[in-house]
Amino acid sequence: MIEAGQIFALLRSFSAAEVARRFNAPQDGMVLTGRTQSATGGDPGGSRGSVEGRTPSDIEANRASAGRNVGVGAGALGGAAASRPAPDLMATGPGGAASPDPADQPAALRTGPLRMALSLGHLAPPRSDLARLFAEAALTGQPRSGAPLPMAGILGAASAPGGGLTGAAQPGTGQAAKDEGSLPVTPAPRGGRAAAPVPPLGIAPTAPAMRTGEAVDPVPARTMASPDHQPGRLVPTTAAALAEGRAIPAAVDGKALADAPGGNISDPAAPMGTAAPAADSRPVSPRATAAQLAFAEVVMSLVDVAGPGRAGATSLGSGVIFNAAMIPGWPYPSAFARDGAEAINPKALLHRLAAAVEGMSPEEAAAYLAKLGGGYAFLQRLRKLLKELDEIEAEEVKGLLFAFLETISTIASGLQKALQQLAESAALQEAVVHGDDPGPGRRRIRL
Amino acid sequence: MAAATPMTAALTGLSPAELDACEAVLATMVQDLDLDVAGIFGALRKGLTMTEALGLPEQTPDLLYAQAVARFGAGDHMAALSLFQALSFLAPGVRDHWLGLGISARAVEQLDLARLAFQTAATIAPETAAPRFHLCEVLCQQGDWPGAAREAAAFEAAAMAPEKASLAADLKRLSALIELRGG
Repeated sequence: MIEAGQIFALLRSFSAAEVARRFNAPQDGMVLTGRTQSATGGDPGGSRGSVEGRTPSDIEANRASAGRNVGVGAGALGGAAASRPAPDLMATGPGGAASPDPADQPAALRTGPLRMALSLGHLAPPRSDLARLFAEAALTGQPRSGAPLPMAGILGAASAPGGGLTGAAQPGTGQAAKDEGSLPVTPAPRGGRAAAPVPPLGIAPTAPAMRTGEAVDPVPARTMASPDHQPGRLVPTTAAALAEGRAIPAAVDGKALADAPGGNISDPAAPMGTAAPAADSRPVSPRATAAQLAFAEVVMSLVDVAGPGRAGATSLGSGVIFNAAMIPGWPYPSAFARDGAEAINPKALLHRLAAAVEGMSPEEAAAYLAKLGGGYAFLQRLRKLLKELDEIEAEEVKGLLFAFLETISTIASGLQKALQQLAESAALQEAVVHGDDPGPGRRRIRL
Repeated sequence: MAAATPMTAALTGLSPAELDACEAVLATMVQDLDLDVAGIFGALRKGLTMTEALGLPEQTPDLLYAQAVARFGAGDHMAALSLFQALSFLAPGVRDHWLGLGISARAVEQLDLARLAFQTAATIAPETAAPRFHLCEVLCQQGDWPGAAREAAAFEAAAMAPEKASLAADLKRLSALIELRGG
């Protein structure tokens, strides 16, 4: 198991030079370009939930790429024979009788399967650099060509009008052919604003402001590159520079990349492709190298933010079991969601939470607490401590403790997954750099 | 409206004596957990955000969000669900974190969680259409036709935006279905 605290400590301990040495060895002739639209899921409208123009084969292909197309997405109304209709969504009359004849259905239901939006197409896109990084990581175990990208569904969805990824080439264009095999790089703003034209490989507006559902003016890419931008934020440094044919910057946020052993980016005037060969001259996949750069930028940003003084700050310790174990009613009590924040009754919530744990059998409680990291001994000690404490609401204290540990566990679980993916990506890139790429189907590298 | 997390509400709902008791209990667990849970708890009491209390880089939500989207796109809905859950704790005021949580929950057929997540998204951004649409969807899936009809009406009342326009056709079909089912 990867321990999140250890991984973060590792990231924090990286110096910029070490990061550059490990991940930032540019190769001659590398071109970082946008992914073709066809490779990102050639059905941008359908991926968002549109019902127009989707064929059974489209649906099956979507199932194959997205794992399970569950829920009402499987419901076929209006004559589509793609799949068995979901019972809840069979078009039936008010009396409950099924109406198999399309003529008996409203016009709105006759045109095809009712495919509900089981995609993230309405969400703000992630930062382009991170999206690129994880798209590359998602290629682990996938053929290099001839198969759809795992990200195809969501990228295709996000390419729909009104939001999503743009900047990648559109199908049928010359740019599309040119960009074949590369990754998407530039999300467009979401959240209710039409995508403005953006230059290729511009750095997208950063979250989370974009994810609030409010209309937010996109941040021009040049803003990110301005001299006064905040250190610690990702900047369009090496990857964007390479893509635009510019020289690689000599430093990122004041950290000199030229210090990197094995690096060949010390001459900022040297255009890409004319740099001196790296110490390790074995051939490297251009796409893999692009991902190295993206990863290096992410790591460096983390290092920047953490800073040397925070390297030993509170981290998630190895003793916590990173499996979220959800107690019914926590952390999403219906009162919270239904009536808004004002309706929260903390005491009632905590009472319910404590009661949920206390209502478990000893075996269930032990298993639950073990997942939280406390163990059954914790519950026993908690009972003992609470008996010794007067003038407090013991049940509420107990509920708060469970809630707190549940919260920590849930966050840690998410962090673990994200960092695991980062570690896998780093290991893969390292293997590719050294010519040890195990090839498609054998790239799942776990620590 | 910024959403208060249950954790925040819980903290503010207890007396100082009760919070002290919690902290005292957590202090005894540090060795068991190899984690300064009491320190984290104390930081939350002082008003720090969860990200700050945990000592995480401020870009952590961005990292988790990108990872969640990538995992969802790769069909790993459970991983996406876990990531969005973490995001909903770290940055609970962001609408799309809750939408992502709800959509991921639907993908793994946790419809109650999906409904609650969409309701929370609607609470955070009541003027936007997407939460209403997704809520209408999941209520249809759960057979709550009157509830779905209310959400469809709320969708119609939401501010016009490209997001709403792109969903309008689908909502029309949902509305037809709701009408058929007597919602």
